[in-house]
Amino acid sequence: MSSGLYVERETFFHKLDPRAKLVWLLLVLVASIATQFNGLKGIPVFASLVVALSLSGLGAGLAALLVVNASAFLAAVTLVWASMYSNQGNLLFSLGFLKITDYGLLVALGKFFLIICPVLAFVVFFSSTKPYHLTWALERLGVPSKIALTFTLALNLLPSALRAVKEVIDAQKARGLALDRGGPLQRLKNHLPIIVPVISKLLSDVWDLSMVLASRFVGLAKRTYVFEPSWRLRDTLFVLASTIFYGGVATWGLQPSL
Amino acid sequence: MSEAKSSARVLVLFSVLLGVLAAALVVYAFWQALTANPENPWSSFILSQIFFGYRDMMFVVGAVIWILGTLVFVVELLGLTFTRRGLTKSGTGIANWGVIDVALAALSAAVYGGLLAATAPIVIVPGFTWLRPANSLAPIFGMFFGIPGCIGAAIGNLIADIVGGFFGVGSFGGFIGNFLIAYLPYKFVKDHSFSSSQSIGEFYAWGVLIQAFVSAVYICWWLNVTEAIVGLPLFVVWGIIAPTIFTNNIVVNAVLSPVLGRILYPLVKGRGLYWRDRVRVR
Repeated sequence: MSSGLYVERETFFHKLDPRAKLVWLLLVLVASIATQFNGLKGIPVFASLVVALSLSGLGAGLAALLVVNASAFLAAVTLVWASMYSNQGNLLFSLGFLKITDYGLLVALGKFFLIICPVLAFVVFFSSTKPYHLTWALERLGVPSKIALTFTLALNLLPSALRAVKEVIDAQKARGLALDRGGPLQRLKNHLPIIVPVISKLLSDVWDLSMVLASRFVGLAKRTYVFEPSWRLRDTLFVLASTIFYGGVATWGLQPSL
Repeated sequence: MSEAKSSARVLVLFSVLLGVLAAALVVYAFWQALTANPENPWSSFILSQIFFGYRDMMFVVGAVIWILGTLVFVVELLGLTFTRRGLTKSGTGIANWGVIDVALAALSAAVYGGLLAATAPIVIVPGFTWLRPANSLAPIFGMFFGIPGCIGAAIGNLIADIVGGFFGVGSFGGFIGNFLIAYLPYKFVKDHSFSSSQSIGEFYAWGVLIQAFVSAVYICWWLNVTEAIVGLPLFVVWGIIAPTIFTNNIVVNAVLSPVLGRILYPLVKGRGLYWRDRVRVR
């Protein structure tokens, strides 16, 4: 069974309280930020996320797939960031105007982890947290009920929105639309036959979704939850272990190394 | 009366001309910079020179815009709005939202986030600058759906950040920045139909020129303040990101949004989803 990005499983991550997972997500982000200028120090964070993917039932294979897919992105990040820091560190090699130094390469790797690690953490979080529990957790953190519901609904609707966009693009391409034809302004205009049908579909879905929400009394009374997650010992231990690990990595990352 | 009308027409024509001219000039200036210095076009790009050269002034202007923008965001969510008579009830705060508002906000966010993620940006310089066609929807959502549309644009951008790998401290600036992109034309454009010269003229003033400047300065001021955490050098913030946001928002909204608005307004109005037809207290 799947609902939006959520995947039904019986794993360690699925059993955790959503608030514990939110704290973990925040710690991953902090550690990624702290190690962004030295990619070598970001490796433990990345490794921990591969483990998290396994523990959430998605498997390390998915991590491998993501890394392979991201390798082109890594190359682009390296080109941009390594060239930006080409005046610092020892020169490793140069290719035309592009100069790669050891410092630039470490920064590029750190920036790559800064982008890929939070994405992996979000994949783990959303795939192991029921939308119902996500709304509950956001409400507990003080987010207004309707905004929390809007965010969760938008996340759930994202895969179908992506599918709708892809279908419209395919249909228009079959009719001869070429998105990459012409100069930048012409290419912008080429997107009109995609955006208009997608919005038209959105307008037809609004009433259906409204009726579903009305049948659940959304906005008419204070929202209550039948199945509320409860904080257990494993959540405390998980948060403690995460704080020690990511806190240690972040402290290490903030210390000057070069 | 006719004198007032003709001066309004002149103002409208001036706004449209200014908007189109600004978009054309931005494209031309970047092309010139790219031709002069293909390795580092930003050092020759006039907008980079303005934003980075006057970064101290931009920082002060950004602080004012940030405080006002964040205040407007909070006040509007609370169901209040700034008018000439002071702070009054808007009837569009979260407490007033019905199921249609929640559905509109959620679907706007999903479609905006989906389009941002699914449509490849039009790259002008690989790795440096691009145009995002989906950004043309943010002002449209604000003008047609009201505050739920503005929140939809903000959440949609946040989701695109999460999915695209750009989530971080800077996403907070992007969240309210995108809210403002939708909010400014919603609040200040009187006629949302895109069928009169006044409507289009006001849109070019608020939805193209002012919105592009406000969103660029809002987001970059936040990136500047959080420099130690985000880790972006000041030249990247004011010399590259600010002109990129400004360029993208001016060009995309000047070229696509009025056409989209003209096509979509009758559809939105016909289905009873236009915000002025739904909001009672105003």
